[in-house]
Amino acid sequence: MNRLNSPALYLLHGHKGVAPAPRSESDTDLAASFLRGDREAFATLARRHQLLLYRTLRRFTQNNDDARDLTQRVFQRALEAAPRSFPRLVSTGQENAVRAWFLRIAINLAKNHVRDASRWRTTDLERVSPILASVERLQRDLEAAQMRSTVRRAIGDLTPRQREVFLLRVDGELPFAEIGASLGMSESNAKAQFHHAVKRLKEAVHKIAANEGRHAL
Amino acid sequence: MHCEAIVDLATSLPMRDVSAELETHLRQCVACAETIALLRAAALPPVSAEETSSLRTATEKTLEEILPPRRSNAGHQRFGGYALAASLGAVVASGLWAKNSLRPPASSSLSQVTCSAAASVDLFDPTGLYEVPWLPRTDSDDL
Repeated sequence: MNRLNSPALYLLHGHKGVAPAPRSESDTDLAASFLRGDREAFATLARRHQLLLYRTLRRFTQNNDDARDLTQRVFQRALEAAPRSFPRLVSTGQENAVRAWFLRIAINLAKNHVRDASRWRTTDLERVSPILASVERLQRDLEAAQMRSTVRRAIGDLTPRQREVFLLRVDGELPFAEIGASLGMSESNAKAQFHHAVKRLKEAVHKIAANEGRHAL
Repeated sequence: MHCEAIVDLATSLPMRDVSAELETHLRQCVACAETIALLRAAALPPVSAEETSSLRTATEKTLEEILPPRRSNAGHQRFGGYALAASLGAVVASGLWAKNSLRPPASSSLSQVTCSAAASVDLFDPTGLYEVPWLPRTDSDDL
């Protein structure tokens, strides 16, 4: 019997907010275990990727609570789809296939969320660094906050594909191969999209800064 | 180190410290310096410890809801299955027994019993009880 399915361990670990000890199997091994009836394997996958999904979803939401709730919806959607999708993911044998699959679900949900909210977050002032002691630092911080605001507005003007690639690279810190797998494109295409995004962002930031009469970068 | 390599290296680490080699290049190359500044500005702040804790708590709660722990292990389930099968068997057996006990005996055996009983009766036994349907008529009945 799988030791994590034991009722005694559920008594120890099953209460709210406490996760069982992490398992060391690979993502595809866990997916295969889930298909054999080990439901705890899915929980391990969710715990393993929750932070990456949250980091990615933060960009698409107005606040951290929305990002957290959206992350939970990813798990619900993933559990529904797992019996259909895991056999294919396991058969590929690619280690990052499960993570890319989770990210695909997250991005689709995020896009729906943005569409439903009919807005794209353009400012992020609540996440700007805390209040500073000195006036000089405050001035510098305000300029940095303006810069962040400008750049994030410019991100909203990218094409959807460029934006997704850019955010997975910057927020998810993923390699291009994995970004490509998550978005259904080749590694070289993901890389090209990223470079186009950077170029367009630079142009957009210069334009916005010129309109507002201040230095760009 | 050339510009493309810089971008490839640095874009995955926008918020982290850059190496000395990269720092040197950034001082000489305006385009790369702009790229790095852009990516740093684009990046969201790191996830705080409070956010991480809140996320983990929410995830555990969600997992409890969507993956409820099994209340009994395989042995308990097997025992339950046997108990259910035994109960069903008992119900069927008792039903059959009740049906058989209420059924009248077969006609052939009844006739045999009747005949044998009749054969054992001595019609001439003066102590025997005979049913008398009604009393014989008397003269007073006609009055």
